[in-house]
Amino acid sequence: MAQRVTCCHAAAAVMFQGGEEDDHPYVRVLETPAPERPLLARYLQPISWGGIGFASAFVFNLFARKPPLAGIQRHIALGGIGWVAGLYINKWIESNSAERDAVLKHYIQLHPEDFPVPERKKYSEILQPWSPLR
Amino acid sequence: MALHCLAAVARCCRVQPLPLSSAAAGLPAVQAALISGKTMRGGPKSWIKEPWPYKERPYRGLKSFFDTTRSRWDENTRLIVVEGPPAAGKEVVARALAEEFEMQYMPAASGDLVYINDYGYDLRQLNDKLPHKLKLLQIDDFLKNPYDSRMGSFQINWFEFKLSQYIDALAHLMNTGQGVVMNKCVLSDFVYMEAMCNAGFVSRGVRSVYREIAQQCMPFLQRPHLVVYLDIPVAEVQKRIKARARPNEVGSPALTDQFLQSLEATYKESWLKSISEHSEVLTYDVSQETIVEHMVDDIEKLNFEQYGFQTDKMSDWNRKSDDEWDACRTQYTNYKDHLMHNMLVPRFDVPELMAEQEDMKVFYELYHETAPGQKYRFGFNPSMGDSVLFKLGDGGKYRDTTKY
Repeated sequence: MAQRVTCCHAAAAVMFQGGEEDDHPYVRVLETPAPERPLLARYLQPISWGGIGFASAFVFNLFARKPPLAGIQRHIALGGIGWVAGLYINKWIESNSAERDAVLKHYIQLHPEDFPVPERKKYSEILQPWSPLR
Repeated sequence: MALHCLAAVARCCRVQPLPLSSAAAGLPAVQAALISGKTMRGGPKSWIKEPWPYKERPYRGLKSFFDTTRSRWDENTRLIVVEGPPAAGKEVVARALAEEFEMQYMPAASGDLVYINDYGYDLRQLNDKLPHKLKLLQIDDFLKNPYDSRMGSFQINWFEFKLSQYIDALAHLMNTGQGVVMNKCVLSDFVYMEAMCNAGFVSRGVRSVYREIAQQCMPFLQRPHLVVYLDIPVAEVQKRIKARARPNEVGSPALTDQFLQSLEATYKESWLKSISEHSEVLTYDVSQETIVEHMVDDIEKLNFEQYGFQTDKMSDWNRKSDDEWDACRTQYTNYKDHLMHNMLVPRFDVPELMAEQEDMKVFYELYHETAPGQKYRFGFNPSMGDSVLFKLGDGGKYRDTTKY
């Protein structure tokens, strides 16, 4: 067991090499292209961090005894910095998730006996004969 | 905490050539010259350097690499304080000294200085609508009814103004190199509190809170170079008060003989004794006549640099390196609010100094929200016509002697 785990981590960085082990039905399903996500989901990090930056300028003005929208350059600058930070954070999150997904998929490929495709039965094979008489 | 600036990054001290006397005493590089007056010199003084516009530009951080504090100092960069009982002629003497030595004159605390805001609005107009305990008081109110329970908080507010003014005096001195002559200062304000407590005008609780506040604030202030004390006996004080006939002073229940004697006693036994350990003290008997020329002569003979490290004399002024002076200047110029916050002492045991919640709400709404120019800092009030959308920075007038 322990050997398997270390094997998996060591092989995590290995991408598709080609061969029969690549063709597991689970992996085929996981690799189908995802639909286009809505804008809010795609730009959640830039919007959030940009919003935090923008809002922090209000707090800054509050502590400096200024009207909330004074010095709009500060709001724009901090919002811009937040937006860019959100992009980089998003990239980091996505790359972490991608690495995790690649590790799991490769594990499935390496140990197909642990992931058997279940036998599909029809209801006609399961249901017993029944007549609608009471 | 408040003096975080003094834990400065280690930078090498700049070395200047030493005059002989300072080198003998082992002192850092300071010019060893005496105060010079206009009359003896025969003309106006020449300034070493353009003054730093500390009211418009902040002084902090990397600017200390380009602008040394002591590069503007000369023999007239001194802090002089004129003290004495009421009606001693302090203002006349202080103004005359300021003109003679070409120093800045700082007036005594008055309602105009404390209560007129940066836009010129007089906050005393709000007094009709303010709750009784939170009305804005002046010395006239003290003279009219000294037994009023609000006198304790009045005295502490006056202390706050004087502290603010003293910090401004030090900032002016360090940023421009011009000396300052003050008419009474925060360091001697406690004599009034002692006299008021001895006369029964305020309670001992108030005095205890005041002492604690003063104790917290004093360590961060440089003591003056020179104190000029104008001495007149109590009978003479009463005579002069009658003579100058200011409407509130004549017949005031506050200016009793006992109060004035207590004032004089505290001045001499407590204040002058303690301040003479650091500052030069010149005492003049001005009951007969006030001759400012004699005072000028005496002051011009004083040598402030003769003291070394063995005594406490001038220790606030002769022991700092260039970097420490720059840090000090940053503190007084830009982080004045840190020094003013030393006044926030958590004493809630004196009922005269506490106000009711409902009254505080009314006060807050009137004083901080609706009064013209009070809601935001100077330069940022759209209601007063400032355009604010693209304005960064401090507003162009980030300090004055009444607000912090």
